[in-house]
Amino acid sequence: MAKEISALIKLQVKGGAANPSPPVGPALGSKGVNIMEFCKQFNGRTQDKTGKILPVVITVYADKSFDFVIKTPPAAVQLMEAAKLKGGSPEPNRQKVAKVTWEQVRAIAQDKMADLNCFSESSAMSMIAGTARSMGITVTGEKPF
Amino acid sequence: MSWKIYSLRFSNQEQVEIASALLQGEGFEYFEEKYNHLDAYFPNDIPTTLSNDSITELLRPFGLLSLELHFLEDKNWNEEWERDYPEVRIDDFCIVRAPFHPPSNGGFEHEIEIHPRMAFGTGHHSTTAGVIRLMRSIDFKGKKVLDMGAGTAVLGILAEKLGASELLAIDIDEWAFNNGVDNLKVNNCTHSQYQMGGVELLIQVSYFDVVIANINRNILLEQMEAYSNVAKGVSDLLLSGFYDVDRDIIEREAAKYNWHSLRFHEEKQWIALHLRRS
Repeated sequence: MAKEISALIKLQVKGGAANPSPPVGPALGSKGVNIMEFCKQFNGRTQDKTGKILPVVITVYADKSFDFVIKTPPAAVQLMEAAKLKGGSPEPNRQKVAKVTWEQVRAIAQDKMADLNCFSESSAMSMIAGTARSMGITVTGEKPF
Repeated sequence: MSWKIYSLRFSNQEQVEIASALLQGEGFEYFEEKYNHLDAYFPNDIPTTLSNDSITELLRPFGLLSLELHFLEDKNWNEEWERDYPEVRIDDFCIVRAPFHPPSNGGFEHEIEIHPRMAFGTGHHSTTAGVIRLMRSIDFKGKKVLDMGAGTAVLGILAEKLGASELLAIDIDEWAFNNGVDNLKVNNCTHSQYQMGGVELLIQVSYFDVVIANINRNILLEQMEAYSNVAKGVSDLLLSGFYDVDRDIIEREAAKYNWHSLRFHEEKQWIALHLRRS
């Protein structure tokens, strides 16, 4: 029988650098999870991604055991990196502050495919392009699909 | 240490994601995401020009509905788990128990009492248990031992119980340090000392016969030279805190300093490795 889930927790933590301080400590500790165990596992599994801020979704079960899934960096973060964008637009719908190409959108879509609920690369690309627009980033060139 | 928590409400998840990306650009490194809600954590002792106004100005164009600032004092967040956990038995060799467990009444060669208080090393983790198993086959009598990344000092305490003449435990974490000092006292470790710091402390120390380090792959690789420099003569190196996929890279780095692999213990893909230099 599947284990009873008591909580789903989504954090963003630096790869290789989880420690029992906030937010890991209060988020997991209040659920009775052994925080030290989570930190050791998270850091062990992210030794190749140290310094990168990674989303992690933790499932806590009623018996205080847990599982977690480490995601790739959020699309918004990857878009800012691709566009070399430092801050946001004061009016993201009207005032565009940076550009990315469809090829860059494709690369992010491929990286995020596993995390997005998309059946095809083109629908993942549409989602990423939508996030870009919301951020005040223009996608340049001809739409490839 | 205390923390500022900016509690931010939005109308959809995409805005939450964009806000976390923008705040990363402002130096935020830790977030908790909830439904249409983002808690962004910032250490209170780090100087910053951030203010409620500047964050509101940054995020309002991206759908920020409200901002609340809270302060949070660090404390033992692991208290709930530590209140009631099972003791750890490593065959008939060693039992690691908490103050709330009754003494074992024999049956084990060694008994260690640990009150963890948010420090690593209750024996529950496969890496700690793995190193304890490896320690069984090493002669510690009269040996000088270094325990790097000591946490609760559980491994160092066992080394002294196995006859080590001297133990130096080191950890960079303040919680671990305070806790480890107490654990050394509770376990009557009179030949041991605990210092707070990192690998730089090894410059001033003398030599060791056994070096123990249960940390993680990258730190072990970085510090391999430092461990090798403080190990003298025929010496033993016990390494853990890495997965089986990383055993090869650790062994290759160790080989540069003439360590050869003797045996390893694997549990849940975690490795505890015993190396020797003659």
